Amino acid sequence: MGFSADRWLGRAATEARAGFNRWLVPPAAIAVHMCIGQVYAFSVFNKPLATELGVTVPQVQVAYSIALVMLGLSAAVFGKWVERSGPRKTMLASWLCFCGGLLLAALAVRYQSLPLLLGGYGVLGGIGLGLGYIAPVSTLVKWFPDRPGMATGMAIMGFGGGALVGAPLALELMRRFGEGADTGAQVALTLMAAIYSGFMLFGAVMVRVPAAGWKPKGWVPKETESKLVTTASVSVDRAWRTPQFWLLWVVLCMNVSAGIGVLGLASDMLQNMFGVSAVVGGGFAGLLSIFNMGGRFVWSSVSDLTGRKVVYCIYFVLGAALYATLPWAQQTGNRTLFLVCTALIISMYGAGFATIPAYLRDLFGTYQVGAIHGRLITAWSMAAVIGPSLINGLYASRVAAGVPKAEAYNGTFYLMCVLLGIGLVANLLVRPVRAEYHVNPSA
Amino acid sequence: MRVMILIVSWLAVAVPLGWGVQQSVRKASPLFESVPDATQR
Repeated sequence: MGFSADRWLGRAATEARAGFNRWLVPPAAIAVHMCIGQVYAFSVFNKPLATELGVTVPQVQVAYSIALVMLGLSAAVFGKWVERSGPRKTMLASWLCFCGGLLLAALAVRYQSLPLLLGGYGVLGGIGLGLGYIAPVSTLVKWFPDRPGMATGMAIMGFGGGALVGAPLALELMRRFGEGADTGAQVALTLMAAIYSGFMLFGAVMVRVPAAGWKPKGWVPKETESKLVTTASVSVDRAWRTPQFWLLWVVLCMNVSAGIGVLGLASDMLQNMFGVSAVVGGGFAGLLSIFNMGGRFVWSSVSDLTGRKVVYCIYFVLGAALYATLPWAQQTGNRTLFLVCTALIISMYGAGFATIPAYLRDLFGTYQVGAIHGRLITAWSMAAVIGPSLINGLYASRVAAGVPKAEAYNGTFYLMCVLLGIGLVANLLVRPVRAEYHVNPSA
Repeated sequence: MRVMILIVSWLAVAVPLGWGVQQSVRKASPLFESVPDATQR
Protein backbone atom coordinates (compact mmCIF):
# COMPACT_ATOMS: atom_id res chain seq x y z
CA MET A 1 0.00 0.00 0.00
CA GLY A 2 1.65 3.20 -1.15
CA PHE A 3 1.78 6.37 0.91
CA SER A 4 -0.75 8.93 -0.13
CA ALA A 5 -0.18 12.45 1.20
CA ASP A 6 -3.82 13.31 0.61
CA ARG A 7 -4.89 10.49 2.93
CA TRP A 8 -3.28 12.36 5.84
CA LEU A 9 -3.12 15.93 4.69
CA GLY A 10 -5.95 16.50 2.21
CA ARG A 11 -9.18 18.33 2.86
CA ALA A 12 -11.12 15.08 3.44
CA ALA A 13 -8.62 13.94 6.07
CA THR A 14 -9.17 17.11 8.09
CA GLU A 15 -12.96 16.95 8.08
CA ALA A 16 -14.20 17.04 11.68
CA ARG A 17 -16.16 14.13 13.12
CA ALA A 18 -19.54 14.69 14.73
CA GLY A 19 -19.20 16.23 18.18
CA PHE A 20 -15.90 17.99 17.42
CA ASN A 21 -15.45 21.09 19.57
CA ARG A 22 -14.99 24.04 17.20
CA TRP A 23 -13.16 26.01 19.93
CA LEU A 24 -10.13 23.79 19.24
CA VAL A 25 -9.67 25.48 15.86
CA PRO A 26 -8.88 29.06 17.00
CA PRO A 27 -5.70 28.02 18.89
CA ALA A 28 -4.52 26.18 15.76
CA ALA A 29 -5.12 29.30 13.66
CA ILE A 30 -3.57 31.65 16.22
CA ALA A 31 -0.48 29.41 16.50
CA VAL A 32 0.25 29.72 12.78
CA HIS A 33 -0.48 33.45 12.65
CA MET A 34 1.60 34.13 15.75
CA CYS A 35 4.60 32.53 14.02
CA ILE A 36 4.31 34.22 10.64
CA GLY A 37 3.62 37.55 12.39
CA GLN A 38 7.34 37.47 13.19
CA VAL A 39 7.83 39.30 9.91
CA TYR A 40 6.70 42.52 11.63
CA ALA A 41 9.64 42.12 14.03
CA PHE A 42 12.26 41.49 11.34
CA SER A 43 13.71 44.96 11.96
CA VAL A 44 15.44 43.70 15.13
CA PHE A 45 17.73 41.71 12.80
CA ASN A 46 18.57 44.73 10.62
CA LYS A 47 21.78 45.81 12.33
CA PRO A 48 23.04 42.33 13.36
CA LEU A 49 22.54 40.97 9.82
CA ALA A 50 24.13 44.04 8.23
CA THR A 51 27.17 43.53 10.50
CA GLU A 52 27.41 39.78 9.85
CA LEU A 53 26.92 40.02 6.09
CA GLY A 54 29.07 43.13 5.68
CA VAL A 55 26.27 45.06 3.94
CA THR A 56 24.17 48.14 4.77
CA VAL A 57 20.95 48.15 6.81
CA PRO A 58 18.83 49.26 3.79
CA GLN A 59 20.19 46.23 1.87
CA VAL A 60 19.03 43.93 4.68
CA GLN A 61 15.65 45.68 4.78
CA VAL A 62 15.07 44.58 1.17
CA ALA A 63 14.49 41.05 2.54
CA TYR A 64 11.56 42.42 4.60
CA SER A 65 10.10 44.26 1.62
CA ILE A 66 10.40 41.16 -0.60
CA ALA A 67 8.72 39.05 2.10
CA LEU A 68 5.72 41.41 2.25
CA VAL A 69 5.41 41.56 -1.54
CA MET A 70 5.60 37.75 -1.70
CA LEU A 71 2.95 37.55 1.02
CA GLY A 72 0.49 39.42 -1.22
CA LEU A 73 1.52 37.61 -4.41
CA SER A 74 1.46 34.09 -2.98
CA ALA A 75 -1.88 34.67 -1.24
CA ALA A 76 -3.31 35.86 -4.56
CA VAL A 77 -1.72 33.14 -6.72
CA PHE A 78 -2.17 30.13 -4.43
CA GLY A 79 -5.62 31.07 -3.06
CA LYS A 80 -7.49 28.51 -5.17
CA TRP A 81 -4.95 25.79 -4.33
CA VAL A 82 -5.43 26.61 -0.63
CA GLU A 83 -9.20 26.15 -0.94
CA ARG A 84 -8.75 22.88 -2.84
CA SER A 85 -6.07 21.40 -0.61
CA GLY A 86 -7.52 22.27 2.77
CA PRO A 87 -5.87 23.96 5.75
CA ARG A 88 -3.59 21.15 6.95
CA LYS A 89 -1.68 20.73 3.72
CA THR A 90 -1.49 24.51 3.36
CA MET A 91 -0.24 25.02 6.90
CA LEU A 92 2.45 22.38 6.32
CA ALA A 93 3.49 24.10 3.09
CA SER A 94 3.54 27.40 4.99
CA TRP A 95 5.72 25.82 7.70
CA LEU A 96 8.18 24.42 5.16
CA CYS A 97 8.49 27.77 3.42
CA PHE A 98 8.53 30.06 6.45
CA CYS A 99 10.81 28.02 8.72
CA GLY A 100 12.88 27.04 5.67
CA GLY A 101 13.27 30.76 5.02
CA LEU A 102 14.50 31.35 8.58
CA LEU A 103 17.03 28.52 8.21
CA LEU A 104 18.26 29.89 4.87
CA ALA A 105 18.65 33.29 6.56
CA ALA A 106 20.81 31.57 9.20
CA LEU A 107 22.84 29.97 6.40
CA ALA A 108 23.15 33.39 4.77
CA VAL A 109 24.91 34.56 7.94
CA ARG A 110 27.14 31.47 7.89
CA TYR A 111 28.20 32.08 4.26
CA GLN A 112 27.88 35.90 4.38
CA SER A 113 25.53 35.83 1.40
CA LEU A 114 23.01 38.62 0.87
CA PRO A 115 21.33 36.84 -2.11
CA LEU A 116 20.72 33.82 0.14
CA LEU A 117 19.06 36.09 2.71
CA LEU A 118 16.87 37.76 0.06
CA GLY A 119 15.93 34.48 -1.59
CA GLY A 120 15.54 32.58 1.68
CA TYR A 121 13.77 34.91 4.07
CA GLY A 122 12.35 37.21 1.38
CA VAL A 123 11.08 34.93 -1.38
CA LEU A 124 10.66 31.50 0.29
CA GLY A 125 9.68 32.89 3.69
CA GLY A 126 7.31 35.37 2.02
CA ILE A 127 5.48 32.54 0.24
CA GLY A 128 5.10 30.88 3.64
CA LEU A 129 3.57 34.10 4.96
CA GLY A 130 0.94 34.23 2.23
CA LEU A 131 -0.07 30.58 2.60
CA GLY A 132 -0.11 30.76 6.39
CA TYR A 133 -2.10 33.97 6.40
CA ILE A 134 -5.18 32.92 4.41
CA ALA A 135 -5.64 29.23 5.29
CA PRO A 136 -6.49 29.63 9.01
CA VAL A 137 -8.74 32.61 8.35
CA SER A 138 -10.93 30.91 5.76
CA THR A 139 -11.18 27.84 8.02
CA LEU A 140 -12.36 29.90 11.00
CA VAL A 141 -14.94 31.74 8.89
CA LYS A 142 -16.49 28.35 8.08
CA TRP A 143 -16.51 27.22 11.73
CA PHE A 144 -18.09 30.41 13.09
CA PRO A 145 -20.92 31.48 10.75
CA ASP A 146 -22.62 32.97 13.81
CA ARG A 147 -19.60 35.13 14.79
CA PRO A 148 -17.32 35.45 11.75
CA GLY A 149 -15.88 38.80 12.84
CA MET A 150 -14.82 37.52 16.24
CA ALA A 151 -13.37 34.34 14.70
CA THR A 152 -11.22 36.07 12.10
CA GLY A 153 -10.32 38.72 14.67
CA MET A 154 -8.79 36.01 16.86
CA ALA A 155 -6.54 34.64 14.12
CA ILE A 156 -5.45 38.02 12.82
CA MET A 157 -4.86 39.20 16.38
CA GLY A 158 -2.33 36.36 16.49
CA PHE A 159 -0.55 37.90 13.49
CA GLY A 160 -0.36 41.25 15.30
CA GLY A 161 0.86 39.44 18.41
CA GLY A 162 3.58 37.76 16.36
CA ALA A 163 5.62 40.95 16.44
CA LEU A 164 5.17 41.28 20.19
CA VAL A 165 6.60 37.77 20.61
CA GLY A 166 9.11 37.76 17.75
CA ALA A 167 11.02 40.93 18.67
CA PRO A 168 11.84 40.18 22.34
CA LEU A 169 12.46 36.50 21.50
CA ALA A 170 15.03 37.39 18.83
CA LEU A 171 16.68 40.00 21.05
CA GLU A 172 16.89 37.57 23.97
CA LEU A 173 18.37 34.79 21.81
CA MET A 174 20.95 37.15 20.26
CA ARG A 175 21.87 38.44 23.73
CA ARG A 176 22.42 34.90 25.01
CA PHE A 177 24.31 33.48 22.04
CA GLY A 178 26.10 36.57 20.75
CA GLU A 179 29.68 37.06 21.86
CA GLY A 180 32.27 39.54 20.68
CA ALA A 181 32.06 39.95 16.91
CA ASP A 182 29.38 37.26 16.71
CA THR A 183 25.97 38.98 16.98
CA GLY A 184 24.23 35.67 17.67
CA ALA A 185 21.90 36.20 14.68
CA GLN A 186 22.74 32.81 13.13
CA VAL A 187 21.86 30.85 16.27
CA ALA A 188 18.83 33.04 16.94
CA LEU A 189 17.40 32.44 13.45
CA THR A 190 18.05 28.69 13.70
CA LEU A 191 16.42 28.40 17.12
CA MET A 192 13.48 30.53 16.04
CA ALA A 193 12.94 28.16 13.09
CA ALA A 194 12.88 25.27 15.58
CA ILE A 195 10.54 27.00 18.04
CA TYR A 196 8.17 28.19 15.32
CA SER A 197 8.19 24.70 13.78
CA GLY A 198 6.68 23.37 17.01
CA PHE A 199 3.85 25.91 16.95
CA MET A 200 3.11 25.63 13.22
CA LEU A 201 3.04 21.84 13.30
CA PHE A 202 0.76 22.02 16.34
CA GLY A 203 -1.57 24.20 14.26
CA ALA A 204 -1.46 21.82 11.28
CA VAL A 205 -2.24 18.79 13.46
CA MET A 206 -5.08 20.45 15.37
CA VAL A 207 -6.88 22.13 12.47
CA ARG A 208 -10.14 20.69 11.15
CA VAL A 209 -12.70 21.75 8.56
CA PRO A 210 -16.43 21.40 9.19
CA ALA A 211 -18.41 18.80 7.23
CA ALA A 212 -20.45 20.13 4.32
CA GLY A 213 -23.66 21.70 5.56
CA TRP A 214 -22.47 21.83 9.19
CA LYS A 215 -23.99 24.54 11.39
CA PRO A 216 -23.45 25.42 15.05
CA LYS A 217 -25.95 23.63 17.27
CA GLY A 218 -29.19 25.57 17.53
CA TRP A 219 -28.04 28.35 15.22
CA VAL A 220 -30.34 29.64 12.51
CA PRO A 221 -29.39 32.61 10.35
CA LYS A 222 -31.35 35.68 11.45
CA GLU A 223 -34.15 36.57 9.07
CA THR A 224 -33.60 40.25 9.76
CA GLU A 225 -29.93 39.98 8.82
CA SER A 226 -28.62 42.68 6.52
CA LYS A 227 -29.15 42.30 2.77
CA LEU A 228 -25.38 42.47 2.46
CA VAL A 229 -25.06 39.06 4.12
CA THR A 230 -25.56 36.42 1.46
CA THR A 231 -26.29 32.73 1.72
CA ALA A 232 -25.22 32.28 -1.93
CA SER A 233 -21.72 31.43 -3.18
CA VAL A 234 -19.44 33.39 -5.48
CA SER A 235 -16.27 31.81 -6.89
CA VAL A 236 -12.98 33.66 -6.79
CA ASP A 237 -12.89 33.96 -10.59
CA ARG A 238 -16.25 35.72 -10.55
CA ALA A 239 -15.72 37.67 -7.33
CA TRP A 240 -12.86 39.74 -8.63
CA ARG A 241 -14.97 40.84 -11.59
CA THR A 242 -17.56 42.39 -9.27
CA PRO A 243 -17.48 46.08 -8.26
CA GLN A 244 -17.82 44.96 -4.63
CA PHE A 245 -14.41 43.27 -4.72
CA TRP A 246 -12.70 46.44 -5.95
CA LEU A 247 -14.63 48.65 -3.53
CA LEU A 248 -13.40 46.47 -0.65
CA TRP A 249 -9.91 46.60 -2.18
CA VAL A 250 -10.03 50.41 -1.90
CA VAL A 251 -11.53 50.17 1.62
CA LEU A 252 -8.64 47.97 2.82
CA CYS A 253 -5.97 49.92 0.95
CA MET A 254 -7.09 53.29 2.38
CA ASN A 255 -7.56 51.98 5.91
CA VAL A 256 -4.11 50.37 5.94
CA SER A 257 -2.40 53.33 4.22
CA ALA A 258 -3.73 55.69 6.88
CA GLY A 259 -2.42 53.57 9.74
CA ILE A 260 0.80 52.08 8.44
CA GLY A 261 2.51 55.46 8.04
CA VAL A 262 1.97 56.34 11.69
CA LEU A 263 2.91 52.87 12.94
CA GLY A 264 6.28 52.90 11.21
CA LEU A 265 7.14 56.45 12.31
CA ALA A 266 5.60 56.44 15.79
CA SER A 267 8.82 56.77 17.74
CA ASP A 268 10.30 59.55 15.56
CA MET A 269 6.97 61.37 15.49
CA LEU A 270 6.64 61.61 19.26
CA GLN A 271 10.28 62.68 19.60
CA ASN A 272 9.93 65.42 16.97
CA MET A 273 6.49 66.66 18.06
CA PHE A 274 6.91 66.64 21.84
CA GLY A 275 10.69 66.62 22.25
CA VAL A 276 10.79 63.37 24.24
CA SER A 277 13.79 61.01 24.40
CA ALA A 278 14.33 57.99 22.11
CA VAL A 279 13.53 55.65 25.04
CA VAL A 280 10.13 57.28 25.54
CA GLY A 281 9.59 57.22 21.77
CA GLY A 282 10.31 53.48 21.80
CA GLY A 283 7.79 53.11 24.61
CA PHE A 284 5.21 54.79 22.39
CA ALA A 285 5.88 52.21 19.66
CA GLY A 286 5.40 49.46 22.27
CA LEU A 287 2.08 50.94 23.36
CA LEU A 288 0.83 51.16 19.77
CA SER A 289 1.74 47.53 19.08
CA ILE A 290 -0.54 46.45 21.94
CA PHE A 291 -3.44 48.48 20.52
CA ASN A 292 -2.66 47.15 17.03
CA MET A 293 -3.07 43.62 18.38
CA GLY A 294 -6.04 44.23 20.68
CA GLY A 295 -7.99 46.28 18.12
CA ARG A 296 -8.02 43.32 15.76
CA PHE A 297 -10.05 41.22 18.15
CA VAL A 298 -12.18 43.91 19.80
CA TRP A 299 -13.34 45.86 16.72
CA SER A 300 -13.78 42.71 14.63
CA SER A 301 -16.02 41.26 17.36
CA VAL A 302 -17.97 44.52 17.45
CA SER A 303 -18.60 44.10 13.71
CA ASP A 304 -20.69 40.99 14.47
CA LEU A 305 -23.10 43.25 16.34
CA THR A 306 -23.07 46.31 14.08
CA GLY A 307 -22.54 44.71 10.68
CA ARG A 308 -19.40 45.12 8.59
CA LYS A 309 -20.44 48.20 6.64
CA VAL A 310 -21.26 50.16 9.80
CA VAL A 311 -18.03 49.21 11.56
CA TYR A 312 -15.92 50.32 8.58
CA CYS A 313 -17.85 53.63 8.59
CA ILE A 314 -16.80 53.97 12.25
CA TYR A 315 -13.15 53.24 11.34
CA PHE A 316 -13.19 55.93 8.65
CA VAL A 317 -15.25 58.66 10.37
CA LEU A 318 -13.76 58.23 13.85
CA GLY A 319 -10.28 57.73 12.34
CA ALA A 320 -10.52 60.99 10.36
CA ALA A 321 -11.84 62.86 13.42
CA LEU A 322 -8.94 61.55 15.51
CA TYR A 323 -6.37 62.47 12.84
CA ALA A 324 -7.87 65.98 12.67
CA THR A 325 -7.43 66.26 16.45
CA LEU A 326 -3.70 65.45 16.41
CA PRO A 327 -2.45 68.88 15.20
CA TRP A 328 -4.45 70.53 17.99
CA ALA A 329 -2.97 68.10 20.54
CA GLN A 330 0.49 69.04 19.29
CA GLN A 331 -0.17 72.79 19.35
CA THR A 332 -1.52 72.69 22.93
CA GLY A 333 1.24 70.31 24.07
CA ASN A 334 -1.38 67.78 25.22
CA ARG A 335 0.62 64.56 24.97
CA THR A 336 -2.03 62.44 26.70
CA LEU A 337 -4.62 63.40 24.08
CA PHE A 338 -2.07 62.63 21.36
CA LEU A 339 -1.42 59.16 22.82
CA VAL A 340 -5.12 58.34 23.18
CA CYS A 341 -5.90 59.45 19.62
CA THR A 342 -3.00 57.56 18.01
CA ALA A 343 -3.71 54.42 20.06
CA LEU A 344 -7.32 54.43 18.84
CA ILE A 345 -6.21 55.09 15.25
CA ILE A 346 -3.83 52.12 15.37
CA SER A 347 -6.49 49.89 16.95
CA MET A 348 -8.68 50.59 13.90
CA TYR A 349 -5.75 50.02 11.52
CA GLY A 350 -5.36 46.49 12.90
CA ALA A 351 -9.12 46.06 12.90
CA GLY A 352 -9.25 46.79 9.18
CA PHE A 353 -7.24 43.63 8.51
CA ALA A 354 -9.28 41.54 10.93
CA THR A 355 -12.74 42.56 9.74
CA ILE A 356 -12.19 42.25 5.99
CA PRO A 357 -12.45 38.40 5.78
CA ALA A 358 -15.86 38.56 7.48
CA TYR A 359 -16.93 41.34 5.08
CA LEU A 360 -15.87 39.11 2.15
CA ARG A 361 -17.78 36.19 3.62
CA ASP A 362 -20.89 38.41 3.97
CA LEU A 363 -20.73 39.44 0.30
CA PHE A 364 -19.38 36.32 -1.44
CA GLY A 365 -20.24 33.43 0.93
CA THR A 366 -17.81 30.92 2.41
CA TYR A 367 -17.24 28.84 -0.77
CA GLN A 368 -13.89 30.33 -1.87
CA VAL A 369 -13.54 33.09 0.70
CA GLY A 370 -9.89 32.19 1.37
CA ALA A 371 -8.94 32.59 -2.28
CA ILE A 372 -10.88 35.87 -2.56
CA HIS A 373 -9.18 37.09 0.61
CA GLY A 374 -5.84 36.14 -0.94
CA ARG A 375 -6.44 38.37 -3.94
CA LEU A 376 -7.66 41.25 -1.78
CA ILE A 377 -4.44 41.18 0.23
CA THR A 378 -2.69 42.82 -2.74
CA ALA A 379 -4.33 46.01 -1.37
CA TRP A 380 -2.10 45.62 1.70
CA SER A 381 1.02 45.39 -0.44
CA MET A 382 -0.05 48.56 -2.24
CA ALA A 383 -0.79 50.32 1.05
CA ALA A 384 2.63 49.34 2.40
CA VAL A 385 4.08 51.48 -0.39
CA ILE A 386 1.52 54.33 -0.38
CA GLY A 387 1.30 55.00 3.39
CA PRO A 388 4.97 55.47 4.33
CA SER A 389 5.76 57.21 0.99
CA LEU A 390 3.02 59.79 1.49
CA ILE A 391 3.80 60.53 5.11
CA ASN A 392 7.60 60.59 4.56
CA GLY A 393 7.34 62.60 1.33
CA LEU A 394 4.99 65.25 2.70
CA TYR A 395 6.92 65.54 5.98
CA ALA A 396 10.24 65.96 4.13
CA SER A 397 8.78 68.59 1.77
CA ARG A 398 7.31 70.59 4.69
CA VAL A 399 10.60 70.49 6.60
CA ALA A 400 12.40 71.57 3.41
CA ALA A 401 9.88 74.45 3.12
CA GLY A 402 10.98 75.70 6.55
CA VAL A 403 8.11 74.38 8.69
CA PRO A 404 9.39 73.53 12.23
CA LYS A 405 9.85 69.76 12.73
CA ALA A 406 7.28 69.71 15.55
CA GLU A 407 4.58 71.06 13.22
CA ALA A 408 5.64 69.37 9.97
CA TYR A 409 3.57 66.24 10.64
CA ASN A 410 0.30 68.19 10.89
CA GLY A 411 -0.17 68.38 7.11
CA THR A 412 0.29 64.63 6.82
CA PHE A 413 -2.49 64.07 9.36
CA TYR A 414 -4.93 65.99 7.17
CA LEU A 415 -3.76 63.93 4.20
CA MET A 416 -4.63 60.79 6.17
CA CYS A 417 -8.13 62.27 6.68
CA VAL A 418 -8.45 62.51 2.88
CA LEU A 419 -7.41 58.84 2.47
CA LEU A 420 -9.95 57.80 5.08
CA GLY A 421 -12.57 59.90 3.27
CA ILE A 422 -11.89 57.97 0.04
CA GLY A 423 -12.25 54.71 1.97
CA LEU A 424 -15.55 55.91 3.46
CA VAL A 425 -17.00 56.68 0.03
CA ALA A 426 -15.93 53.24 -1.30
CA ASN A 427 -17.50 51.57 1.73
CA LEU A 428 -20.77 53.47 1.34
CA LEU A 429 -20.97 52.34 -2.30
CA VAL A 430 -20.90 48.62 -1.36
CA ARG A 431 -24.15 46.89 -2.32
CA PRO A 432 -25.13 43.18 -2.33
CA VAL A 433 -23.55 41.10 -5.12
CA ARG A 434 -25.94 40.59 -8.04
CA ALA A 435 -27.36 37.08 -8.52
CA GLU A 436 -25.71 36.70 -11.95
CA TYR A 437 -22.36 36.24 -10.14
CA HIS A 438 -23.62 33.42 -7.90
CA VAL A 439 -22.49 29.83 -8.52
CA ASN A 440 -23.58 26.42 -7.32
CA PRO A 441 -20.53 24.93 -5.53
CA SER A 442 -21.81 21.36 -5.80
CA ALA A 443 -22.38 21.61 -9.57
CA MET B 1 -9.70 14.35 28.16
CA ARG B 2 -11.37 16.59 25.56
CA VAL B 3 -11.53 19.48 28.03
CA MET B 4 -7.86 18.93 28.86
CA ILE B 5 -6.87 19.13 25.19
CA LEU B 6 -8.92 22.32 24.85
CA ILE B 7 -7.24 23.94 27.87
CA VAL B 8 -3.73 22.91 26.79
CA SER B 9 -4.37 24.17 23.24
CA TRP B 10 -5.45 27.59 24.43
CA LEU B 11 -2.57 27.78 26.93
CA ALA B 12 -0.12 26.94 24.14
CA VAL B 13 -0.97 30.19 22.37
CA ALA B 14 -2.00 32.32 25.35
CA VAL B 15 1.30 31.92 27.22
CA PRO B 16 3.60 33.21 24.42
CA LEU B 17 1.16 35.97 23.51
CA GLY B 18 0.87 36.98 27.15
CA TRP B 19 4.66 37.08 27.39
CA GLY B 20 4.80 39.26 24.27
CA VAL B 21 2.22 41.68 25.70
CA GLN B 22 4.12 41.83 29.00
CA GLN B 23 7.34 42.66 27.12
CA SER B 24 5.55 45.44 25.23
CA VAL B 25 4.06 46.87 28.42
CA ARG B 26 7.57 46.91 29.91
CA LYS B 27 8.85 48.64 26.79
CA ALA B 28 6.02 51.20 26.99
CA SER B 29 6.54 51.99 30.67
CA PRO B 30 9.03 54.90 30.11
CA LEU B 31 6.18 56.65 28.32
CA PHE B 32 4.25 56.94 31.57
CA GLU B 33 7.24 57.58 33.81
CA SER B 34 8.51 60.64 31.96
CA VAL B 35 7.60 64.27 32.73
CA PRO B 36 3.88 65.12 32.51
CA ASP B 37 2.60 66.99 29.48
CA ALA B 38 1.84 70.70 29.34
CA THR B 39 -1.79 70.29 30.42
CA GLN B 40 -0.85 68.39 33.57
CA ARG B 41 1.84 70.71 34.79
